[in-house]
Amino acid sequence: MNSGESLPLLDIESLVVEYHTLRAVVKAVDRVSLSVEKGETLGLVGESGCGKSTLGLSAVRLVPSPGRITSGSVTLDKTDIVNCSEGEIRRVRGKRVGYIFQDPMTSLNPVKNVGAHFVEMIRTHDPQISREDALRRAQDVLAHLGILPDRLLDFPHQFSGGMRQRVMIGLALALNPELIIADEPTTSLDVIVEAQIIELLKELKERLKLTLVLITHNIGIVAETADRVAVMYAGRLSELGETDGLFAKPMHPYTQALLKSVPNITKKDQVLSWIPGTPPDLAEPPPGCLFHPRCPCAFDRCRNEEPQLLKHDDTEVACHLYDRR
Amino acid sequence: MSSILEVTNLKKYFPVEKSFLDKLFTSQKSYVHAVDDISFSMNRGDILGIVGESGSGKSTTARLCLKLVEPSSGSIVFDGMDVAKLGGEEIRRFRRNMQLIFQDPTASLSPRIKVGDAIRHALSFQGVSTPSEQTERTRAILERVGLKPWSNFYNRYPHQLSGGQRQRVVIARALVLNPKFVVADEPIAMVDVSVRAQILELMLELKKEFDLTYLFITHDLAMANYVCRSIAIMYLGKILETGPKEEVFSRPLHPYTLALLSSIPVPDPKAKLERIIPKGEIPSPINPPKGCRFHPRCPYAQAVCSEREPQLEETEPSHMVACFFPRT
Amino acid sequence: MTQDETRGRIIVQLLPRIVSLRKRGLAGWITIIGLAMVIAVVLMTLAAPWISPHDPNEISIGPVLAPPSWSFPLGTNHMGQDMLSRLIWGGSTMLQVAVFSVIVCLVVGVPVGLLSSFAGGLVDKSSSLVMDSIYAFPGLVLAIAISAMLGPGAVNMALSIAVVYVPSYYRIVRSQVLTIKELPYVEAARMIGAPGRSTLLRYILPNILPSIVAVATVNFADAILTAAGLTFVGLGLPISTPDWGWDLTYGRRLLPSGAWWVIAFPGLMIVILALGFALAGEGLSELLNPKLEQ
Repeated sequence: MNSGESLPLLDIESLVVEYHTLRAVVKAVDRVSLSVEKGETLGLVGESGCGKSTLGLSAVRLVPSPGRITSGSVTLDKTDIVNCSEGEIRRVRGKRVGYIFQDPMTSLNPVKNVGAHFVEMIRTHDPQISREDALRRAQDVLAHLGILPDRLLDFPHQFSGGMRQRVMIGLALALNPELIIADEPTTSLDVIVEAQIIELLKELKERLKLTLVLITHNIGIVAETADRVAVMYAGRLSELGETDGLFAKPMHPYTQALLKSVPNITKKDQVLSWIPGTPPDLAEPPPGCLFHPRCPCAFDRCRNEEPQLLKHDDTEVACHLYDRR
Repeated sequence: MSSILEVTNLKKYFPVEKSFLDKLFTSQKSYVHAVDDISFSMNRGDILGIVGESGSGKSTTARLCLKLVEPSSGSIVFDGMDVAKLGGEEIRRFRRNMQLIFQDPTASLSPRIKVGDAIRHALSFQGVSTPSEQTERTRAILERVGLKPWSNFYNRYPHQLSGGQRQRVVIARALVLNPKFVVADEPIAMVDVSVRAQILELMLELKKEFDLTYLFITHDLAMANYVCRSIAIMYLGKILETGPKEEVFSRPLHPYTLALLSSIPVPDPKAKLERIIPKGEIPSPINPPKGCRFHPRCPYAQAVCSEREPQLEETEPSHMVACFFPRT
Repeated sequence: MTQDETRGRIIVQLLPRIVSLRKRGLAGWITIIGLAMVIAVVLMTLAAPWISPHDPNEISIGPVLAPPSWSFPLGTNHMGQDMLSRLIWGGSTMLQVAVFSVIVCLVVGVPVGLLSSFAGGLVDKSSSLVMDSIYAFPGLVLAIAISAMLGPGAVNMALSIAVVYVPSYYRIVRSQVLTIKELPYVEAARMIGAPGRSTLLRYILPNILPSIVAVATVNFADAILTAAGLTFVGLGLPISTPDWGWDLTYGRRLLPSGAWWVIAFPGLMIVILALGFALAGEGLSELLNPKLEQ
């Protein structure tokens, strides 16, 4: 895991993000700590409502209200994301961190052509650059992604879903960011296009030595592209480890159950299982471990005491089964 | 085994709205070739999965079978009855035999109708039995789909239930009329991963109990592999390959099927993926390619593929493919 | 039940109507402020028999054109009538006219909107044509024209206002129905065999009610202003009814002689009432459009 020698590029420490709603205060992210090394791909997986998207947004301080980062820290290579100034965070967004959003249709401005998107983005961060230079940069980036230069004049609706997503990736890459965060980049795409985009991301990762945080509920993509995987449940981190190890020997009961519920077309006569019950209501969370009501291995301690994320060989896991203290 | 559904040469073309100038200067109409001459049949008790990407026409096919959409041409014979001949009131009664499980459990339930009432409406609209019996049957089906005890759910509104629970309500509503035939349009696509298998298992149990026939519409090959018995692969309004699931998924014949199968992300980091990714993207169904629809993207295409359209032919028992150069 | 009893009952029911709207953020506050303004005015009007110091119609109860003083806090007009009493009583007819016109609009605009957009085709096209034509006229001008045709009286005034505003309701209902018609749950209703009537009444209508409430609330504001306008130009209420509109008319004529208080206070009340409805309506439409949050 962490070699301890170089500082991680992104370091999240005990982050808490709360949503203040009518009913209650909901902890969308509850004391999550993880780090991303330069050049690695971290897969952040979980089901809907687990807080993975919120975690991604907090890395660029874009958590929508009524959500707020209430405690903990997010550090991007020595910059304190949570407390830095407005000017500082605007320099981070786009220039230091590229964000790929889930739905390219609503993330692109329908009345601006693609070239204009790039120009606006590039010149916001560097007003000195001329329009021509910005467009040239855009052409370069899009060429990597398989989009011909004359398409810069086209508008978002003239692109197909997969092409739009490539435009989004291009925008994220345009300013050579240190880190890319991709939130469900292939969810709205067809199967074959999804494969094209995954192959593209893998290739870019190789060629540009990208540092990538891939947020998704699709276990298959994570298995293919991530070096390490973080599994979230109900706002908390339940397991964090190397991809190979996590898939071969998942430790947390949630991870185990999750992996058993994903169909694998290469396996003959697979028997799928599922997790009974429903995720907890974060407005009124159960005491102790949030997963205990659905956990086949739950015992007394689980109902009363919240498990801590502890290191166990090369994996970090938050489960009393592994806590011999 | 009796035939329950016979679809023959089914076509559905949707007219395309043209801009004002186009309307002035061209009289030529253009159409979206959503479903372009497909034929297939199902026997009682089958579980057929129609698999395809966007623009394949799979959803339109389902809606044509359910008479939610009128075909441009072709015939649909359900249980011996020509569906095209049904008129107004007959269609309403016809709906008792065929039901639809929707993709989006949230959008397919009215936010202002209680869940129990939403199910009971099916019985009351069809004039089935008495009001008290309707309530009884609704309670029973709620429990049968796993929403026990019914009293916890009957008077709830959809937003008070989880996604998985809502989908069960949708299933309950579809089944309360005891239909013979159920179309499931991406039934688990919008349900959490860890709960999907539970919904699928429920659907399979209900099939045994109610003696149902299922038509699944999906883009999720892994799901189709898990739950279906036979598969039909659709692309741009055409069926490219069909056969028993084991055949189609283990010995795919059509290059498109091969591409689909190799594209699925596999939840195993050690799996070796040999991807056969066709170039480009799905062309517009308004002007589909001449000849074989897939030829512009097919790595094995030859001259004939752009000139003539291959028909579905049986290359192995029950395994049919529409390709001049199937990958045997 | 006498008029006073009715008023008493309405007060008692209105008072505890402050919903915990303050928890709903800015939209909640706007709605509260708007509703507070409206309720204050309405309460004042309802409580008129008890709180009005004098008979608003009584002539020469005080000196003619006296500026505000301790005995007549809002002054008197050219007939020696107490402006404060006229202020307190003056909203009554206007409010009733507004309520009546809104009711007529709801009874006409909503069903026509529902049926026409659900049916589609020629029916839809022709009713849209009619409604759009009415909508194209400036409100007050059209109201004046219709009012002139119908003649004086509170009911006729309410009807002419209703005609002017029916298209607003129609349009909102229609646009909502057209959207909802395409939603999966309406298709689901079709799938289980719902006859058209049930689909419309049980699946579509309940889901557009919030928009109707929002339109109606903002529409109250328009109705108030139009009512005032109609009385201002002399088409509407008989002169013996104490009404803000009438005071505006007199007040305008008296303004050159320096008697600002005759026009100012009624004018202010109209503004408060209309603004209150507008704010409440805006706030309500914000609140009632469910925004999907976590």
